Formats: sequence, structure tokens, C-alpha cells
Amino acid sequence: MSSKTNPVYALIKKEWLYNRGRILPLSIGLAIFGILTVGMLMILPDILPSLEGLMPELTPEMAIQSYMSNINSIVSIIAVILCADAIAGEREKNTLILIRTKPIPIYSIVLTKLFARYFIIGIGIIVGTLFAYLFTLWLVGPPDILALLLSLAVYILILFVYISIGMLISTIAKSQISAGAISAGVVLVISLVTSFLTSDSIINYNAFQLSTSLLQRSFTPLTIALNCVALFIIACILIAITIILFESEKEPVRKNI
Amino acid sequence: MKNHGIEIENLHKSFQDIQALRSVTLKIEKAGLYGLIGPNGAGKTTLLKCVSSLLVPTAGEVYINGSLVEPKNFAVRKNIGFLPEDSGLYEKLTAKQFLHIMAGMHGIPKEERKKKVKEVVEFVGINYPPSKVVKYLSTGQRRLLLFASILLHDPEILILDESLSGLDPINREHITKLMRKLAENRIVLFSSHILADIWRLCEKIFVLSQGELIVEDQPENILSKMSDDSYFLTVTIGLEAIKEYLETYPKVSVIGIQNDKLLFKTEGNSLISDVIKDIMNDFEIISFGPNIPDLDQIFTRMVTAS
Repeated sequence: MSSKTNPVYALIKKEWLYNRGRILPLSIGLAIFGILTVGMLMILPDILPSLEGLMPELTPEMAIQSYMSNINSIVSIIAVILCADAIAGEREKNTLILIRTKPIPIYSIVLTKLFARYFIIGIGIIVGTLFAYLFTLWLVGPPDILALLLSLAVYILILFVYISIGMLISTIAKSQISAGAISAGVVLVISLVTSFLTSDSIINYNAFQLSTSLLQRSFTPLTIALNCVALFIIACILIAITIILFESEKEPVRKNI
Repeated sequence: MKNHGIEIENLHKSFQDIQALRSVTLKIEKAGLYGLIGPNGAGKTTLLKCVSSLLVPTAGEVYINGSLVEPKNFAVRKNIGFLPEDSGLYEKLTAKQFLHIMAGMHGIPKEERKKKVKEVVEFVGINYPPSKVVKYLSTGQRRLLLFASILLHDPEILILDESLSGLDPINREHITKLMRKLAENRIVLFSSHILADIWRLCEKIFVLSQGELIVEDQPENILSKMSDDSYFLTVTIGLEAIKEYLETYPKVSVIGIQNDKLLFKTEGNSLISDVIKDIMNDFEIISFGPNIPDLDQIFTRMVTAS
């Protein structure tokens, strides 16, 4: 008689089977997004000749910075919308009961769903960034690969916070649509507010714009590390709140009673 | 240490200002089929969900095989197979993938899963291709798939919430047979709106009304308790005339006419043969016998009496 296996593996498999179909369209979409971002910067002066004098000459750093700035807002919104179905969607379709009757701890359910989405979006971003890099290399010139990798790494950490926000809202929302709408709204507000906090006195503490700021100015390693730790702590707090709220949901199937 | 089986002690469950369960106490110790009936909103689903650790009681305790049922007591979940009334299914998966994932979620090792799934599929009688995607299954097929999924970990106790509702007679009979077979060595507690199913299948019936357990007995005992020693008779014509005749008959009280039947009572059973003989002299009787109330009448009487 072999020993029992961890039920979480089955949950991971279910999440994989359910979400794998999103990887290809997301990756293609972000690849096109990467190409378009660089391509638009290239053709903008040709489309609008009046901008020619106003725009500085396009450099590889500018192209990459523009791409990172765009994904910081747009991809973050896509990411939280993808998180909307995690809990709220399953509750709506009445499939949450299939998991809740199994010997799987709540924290495992939350973390599995979170990392499944993180993984899928992460792949999409890496593909998108690769295309943006290759396109910049081809059309503009070689960008600073180390700066790009550092910026990407920081953005993936920022994304961790956004996905945690998406999971939290999915846990408390009544439906998948409302979870998606609220999450998108929250991320939009964070993106907008932090994008204005660019003065010298604040920029060092603006963790949500660090991935873009890193390509514009130099930061000390300590500042980068502190911002990353702050982002990680925020994400952990959000995940902890999600688990507590999910666990304290004493009537997980209330609507059926 | 508590006993084997299900033991519910003084269970209360409230949802804000609604009291769904009030002081429910019951014990099921030996294998068999046990029925839970009650009008809509009586608390049947709430009770079954409390037993399955899906709901946390407001007060009171539930024990499964001696272990206290609570959300974090996963050992209890391994002993229970819960079939929810309206659970969804993972629509994008195939039937085979669904069962493998459900088996995995119960911790069944990968090398055993294939065999276990095959056994359960054969037992339940799933006759559609396992590669069929769940969203294309019919209601009956989905119900069978869900039924199969709760048997994968070989639970000692099965909790079935409205397991027969929404099924055609063939599927209902099929699931009924499975339930009977499973009840040979397991406790099967099921709720149903279809009284006839509960009546013919169960060895014990629990009746819930407004969150309270009002009756707990064997079907035949309930039937005998609910019989009121009245008689019925039917005739081709002249039911009103017999009614008038019996109203003048000493020691006979007429209950009334219900659905072409005249219902009446006599003071003592010895009198009934004389009464019938007298009626037969003047009227043509089609049928006559003790008035055994139908299940709906019994159910209504029980709930009304409570």
C-alpha cells in the first residue's frame, strides 16, 4: 500500500488544466504589445510630423522604458482581471464546494490559485519583454540588458502585489465580474497615483513605479532592496488577509441554503 | 470517545437572524439508508452541510466516527463522501480528468488512481466515453459523475443532498440501486423531496420542520402512528346517499368525501362488518378498506402537528 499523496498536487493540476489555455493568447498578445510599443515610437514622428521637433531622438533605453511603463499599467490590469475567477468565479459556478469538501487547507487553495496565475502572466511578460528587446535591438539599437533584466525582475515583484490584490478582491467579491471590475479599478488608481509621485524626494520610495524609474535614473542597491522588501511584505500581508477572510467565511455556500 | 457513525448533539445553526437549525440531536450508528425529509426551508441542507464540515454550527457538536467535525479536521473529511444538491463541475475537463483530479484531491496516490477510477466508473455504471468533456454531459450523466467522485476515497459515510432530484425515472432507479448497494456496509444519509423514495428505501426517517427534528422513526412505525382507524368506501353512484345513510347510523361518524371516497369511522372495529353488510343491502360498493393516508398526507400531518 503506497502512502497518500499531497492533495494540493491535484489542485495544481486542475489549475494547470484550466488555465494553460490562457498562456498562448497572453504570450502572443504581450509579444504584439512589445513590438507595437517599440514600433509606435519609431513611426510616431512619421505619422505626426509636428512631434518631430518635440520628441528627442529615440534611444534603446527610451524604447525599453516606454515598454516597461506601459506594462506597469496595462499588464497589471490584465493580471488582476485574470485573478477574478480564482475564488469568485468558482463560487459563482458552485465548484468551490468540490474543493472545500476535500482535505486541502485554505492557505494551499489560495496560494495554488495565486501562483498558477502568477506563473501564466509571468510567462506572458517574459515573452512580451523578449519581443520588445529583440525589436528594439533590431530597429533602434542594443539596450542595456542588465538594466532591462533588473527592471523586469522588479516588475515581476510588483506584479506579485497586484495579483495578491486580485486574489483578495476575488475572495470578497460576490461575482467574477465585480471582482474583475473592482480589481481593475484599484490597480488603475494605484498606477495613476504612483505615476505622479516622481519628485526627487518621493521617487526613492515609490516602489510601484520602481521598474520604470530604474531605467530613468540610478538607485543605490540599498534603495532597490528596501523597495523590493516593501513590495514583498505588502504582497504577504495581502495574501495573509485573503487566507484569513477565506477561512473565516463560515458559510462558504450560503447562497444555496 | 464517541461511537461509530454520525452523532449530532444539540446542534444549532443561525444565519444572521434566521435560525436554520434548533437543537437537533440524532445518532446513526449502523450501516443502512437513512432519510431526511422536511418542507422547503426546514434545514435539511444546512444539517447535511454541518455534518460534512462545510458549515460551522452556531452551537452544538457533530461527531463522525468519534471525531469532532470542524473545518480544519481533515481526517473527518476522509470518512465522508458528500454529494451536494447543486454542485457545479469543472466544465472544461473530461470526465476522466475530473475523476482523476477528485481522486488526487483526496490524496489517493497517482499509481492507485487509475485503478480506483476504473472501479468506481464500473460500479456507478458510467457508460459514456471517459474522454467526453463535462460541459457536454446530460443532467443524469453529470449526476453519475459527481456520484462517482464521492466514492473514490471509499468513505464510510455518504451524505447525499437531494441526490435523486432532477433525474429521469431510469437514472433515479439506477442511483437508488447504487445507494442500496452502498448502504450494505456504509451509513448513507440522504435528503429528498420525493417522499416515496425515502419511504421505500430508508430504514429510518428523520423529519425536520422549521429547523427542529420532529420525528425520528422507522417508516412502518410512522405509518401506523399516523393511521387514524378510519375506513373508506367507493361506489359507482350515490356517494352522497351513503353519506346521509351513515350519518344516521349509530356509533358511526362520517369524516367526509375526499376524491370520490367516503371516509368514516366506527366506535370499535367489531362494528365495521355490520355497517358494510347494511350498506351492501342498499348500495353497490366498488371498494372498501382501512383508510391508510398517503405519504403526502402523513407528511403534512407530521409537520402540522409539530
